[in-house]
Amino acid sequence: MKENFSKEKYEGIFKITHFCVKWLVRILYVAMIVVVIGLVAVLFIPRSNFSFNTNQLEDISFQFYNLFVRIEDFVSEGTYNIKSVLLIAGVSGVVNIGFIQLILIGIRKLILKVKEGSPFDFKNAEVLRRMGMFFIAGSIVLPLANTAMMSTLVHTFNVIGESRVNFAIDLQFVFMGLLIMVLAYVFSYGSYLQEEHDSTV
Amino acid sequence: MPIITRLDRLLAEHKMQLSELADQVGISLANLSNLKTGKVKAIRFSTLEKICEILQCQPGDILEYSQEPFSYSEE
Repeated sequence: MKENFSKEKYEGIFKITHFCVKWLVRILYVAMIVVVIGLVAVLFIPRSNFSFNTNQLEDISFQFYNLFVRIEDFVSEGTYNIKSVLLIAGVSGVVNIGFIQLILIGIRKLILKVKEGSPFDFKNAEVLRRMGMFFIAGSIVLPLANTAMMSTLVHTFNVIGESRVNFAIDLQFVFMGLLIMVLAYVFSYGSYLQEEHDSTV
Repeated sequence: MPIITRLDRLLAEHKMQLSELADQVGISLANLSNLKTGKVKAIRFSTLEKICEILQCQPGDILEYSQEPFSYSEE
């Protein structure tokens, strides 16, 4: 027996998702503005103002997955100019935040259309197709930005040991992108069926 | 489109308004108007059955096939 379609089952999920996505987009806009302002400021402030002594790193440590690392164990003592590090970190931040923002804006558009009651719309299919392309592009762009940042960090601070920063395409992003593009085709076909249904009396 | 509807002729014969027919058939006025002006791509048998029941006619009285281009504005 066919189950009757009920939108009420999903109303709660739509509301929560829309609320979270809406506020995340706003927060990321603010974060992006802060990073861009910081980047512009670093660009125009004279290089001499960016001297940094690694003695200030004493007792600073961070956790990388399950590894607990003390920064002073890896960085050579001395004074370094960190302007280039901050610039590259800013660019990397803009790229990462921008990518997340593009994906969230796409999700927000989809949710709004679904809430309106028209999930199968050619515009939704186009949004999904673009999101798939962003993921595939992101598999190269994001690792590139992050590699540039790590490389600058390693070379600026003369990280102890034979440090090497490798670039690798993020295959998870490639797979996600391809999956989303398959979904875009499904939505495109669904839109065609919806149109056929709507023009049947 | 080669399939044309003669709904307005039948409505005139029965002295019935389109809105009245839409109410009795159970479809929206917009959809029935689209059917009347040939803007729909398909009609369900259930809809055709109700129209025939209300207008006391045959499906052939409502639907006509014409290979020549037809304009609803001529009616």
